[in-house]
Amino acid sequence: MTGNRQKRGILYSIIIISLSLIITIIVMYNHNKEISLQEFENKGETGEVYSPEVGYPSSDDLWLLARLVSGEARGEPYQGQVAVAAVILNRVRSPKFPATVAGVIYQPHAFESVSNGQIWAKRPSAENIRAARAALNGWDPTYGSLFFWNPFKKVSKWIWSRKIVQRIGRHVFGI
Amino acid sequence: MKKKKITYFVLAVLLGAALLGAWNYYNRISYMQNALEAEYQRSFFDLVKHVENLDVLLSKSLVSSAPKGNIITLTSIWHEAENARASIDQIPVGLKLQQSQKYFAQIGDFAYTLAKQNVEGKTIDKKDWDKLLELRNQTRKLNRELHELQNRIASGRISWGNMDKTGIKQKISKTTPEPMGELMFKIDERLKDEAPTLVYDGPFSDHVEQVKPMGVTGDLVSREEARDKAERFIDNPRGIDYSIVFKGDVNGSIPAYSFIIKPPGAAGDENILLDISKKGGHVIWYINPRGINQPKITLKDAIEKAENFISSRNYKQMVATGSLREGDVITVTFAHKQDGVIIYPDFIKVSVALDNGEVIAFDSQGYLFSHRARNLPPPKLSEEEVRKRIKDELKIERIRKAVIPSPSKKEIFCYEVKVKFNNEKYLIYINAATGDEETILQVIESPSGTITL
Repeated sequence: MTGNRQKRGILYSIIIISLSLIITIIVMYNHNKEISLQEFENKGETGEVYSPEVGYPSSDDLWLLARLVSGEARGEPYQGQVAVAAVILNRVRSPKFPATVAGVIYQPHAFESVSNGQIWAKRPSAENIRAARAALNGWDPTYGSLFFWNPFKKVSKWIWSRKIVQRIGRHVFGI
Repeated sequence: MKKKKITYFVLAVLLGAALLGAWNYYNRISYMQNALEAEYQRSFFDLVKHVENLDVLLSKSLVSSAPKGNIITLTSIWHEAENARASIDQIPVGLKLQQSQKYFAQIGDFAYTLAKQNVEGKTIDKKDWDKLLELRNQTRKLNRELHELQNRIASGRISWGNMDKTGIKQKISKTTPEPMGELMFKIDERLKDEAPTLVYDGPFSDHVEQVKPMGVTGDLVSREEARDKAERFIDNPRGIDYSIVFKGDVNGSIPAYSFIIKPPGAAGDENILLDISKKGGHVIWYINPRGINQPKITLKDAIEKAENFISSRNYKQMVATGSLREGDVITVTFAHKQDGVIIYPDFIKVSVALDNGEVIAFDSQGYLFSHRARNLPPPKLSEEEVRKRIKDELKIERIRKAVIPSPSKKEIFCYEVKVKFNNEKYLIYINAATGDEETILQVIESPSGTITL
């Protein structure tokens, strides 16, 4: 009896160990599966256009911006996604925030999705990328807003002291 | 009995493993917390250092009477101010220290502008000197305050400490003060009241934020009038029976009504959003988010569609100045033309879907902000003189007159010289009054074919 039980115990532990190994491998594999930059590099044909800003966000920022849109505005209407991306770029141009896209996105405690890792949880959708690109090309439905928040979620009191400009989808945008 | 022993043994092993795991986990967390705390401390200590340097440099700029030496001092100020800005970005409450960030951004920008003027041979005038003095005094005060905080940190009385355990959001709303954060906010609040207003020729000058839209003309329109205008404005080649719903007021730089334009039966992901100004009923922007089918029309036709669209919407005297194709959409930028001069600040963007040529996005914020009839004095330089100023190595392809925006949103009347160098194309802007080279842009063309307009 005991011998049998021991054997069974060994069998179970082997099964459990191998299962957890498989799960670990799957998790690790998914973690390492990165989106190739090529997906984002579908650059367009460009004609000449006057764009005087020095240090204006380049298409290299597209990838990071699309990530943030995916983390912060998933499920929002397309225009709301453009608006979120536009807020990031407005911050880049503002003296009150860091001067690069990465600086703004990774500013300590600036974005929930960066703090909780959502920014890395899912691939940006084609729509997220399109929205990020539109913002990089100068579309801004928020009139230069520097903040956005979801009024249905618990947010700091401080954020409500901002002047609300516009509401798109579930987000309000403010200066 | 034996069974029991085995059970105890297994339980003991499990407990031991759990304790080991917890201890390991705790170790890792405290290691990470220390690493984070170290990052924050470094940023803060760096900030203190940069402010100290700024204090010294600003003082030097006040007493310097050699224009050349002062250029170096002023560019050093620019450099240190940017360093201070980068440090403050990285401290955990940086998001709320907006006045401090702006303060450093402005000092740097202002010093850079002064250095540029010195290069052009203009020495610092009384007005700017007074501003430098004000900035020096303010920076000295800031320097003292930060040093005091630094001493308190060094003696272990305050720390960034648990800023990260619960996140800044709770910290901000809590009534119990977070020592370091609260102390920094106090300084920030003081700067808001005491920092001097700076008006100069740079992008962070205080006048830039206060620019009012000049192209929004006409009488106030009612919500109903605006709705009718919006309905007539959008492009609708497919003859869709849209229903149009008021979404809300927009309290931005251009007060507006916002509408949702819904196609029948759609789930909401094809709703067009449109903002229209309350004054004059100008459509500010609209975006139709619909997907694009197989492209059927050529780029040339699409650009023509964009041209027809804006001229039928009463935007006259507009010329296409650029276009950008992304996926199956082409976005064309138009600028206003007055007396043969391209007015770049007055721009409109139109996006055309390449499946049926429908205008799926429109934006006139540039136009509405800056458009007005301009007083364009005859250029002091002739086209021939401009031609002579261009290096012999460059092949001139075109010269035309244009108004371009300066970084501080002022306008400069220029000659736009399109040149070819090897296979690269550049636009050189020569000031029509002074002959100064204002700016140079590179024209980027992709190998898949370029549209030059």
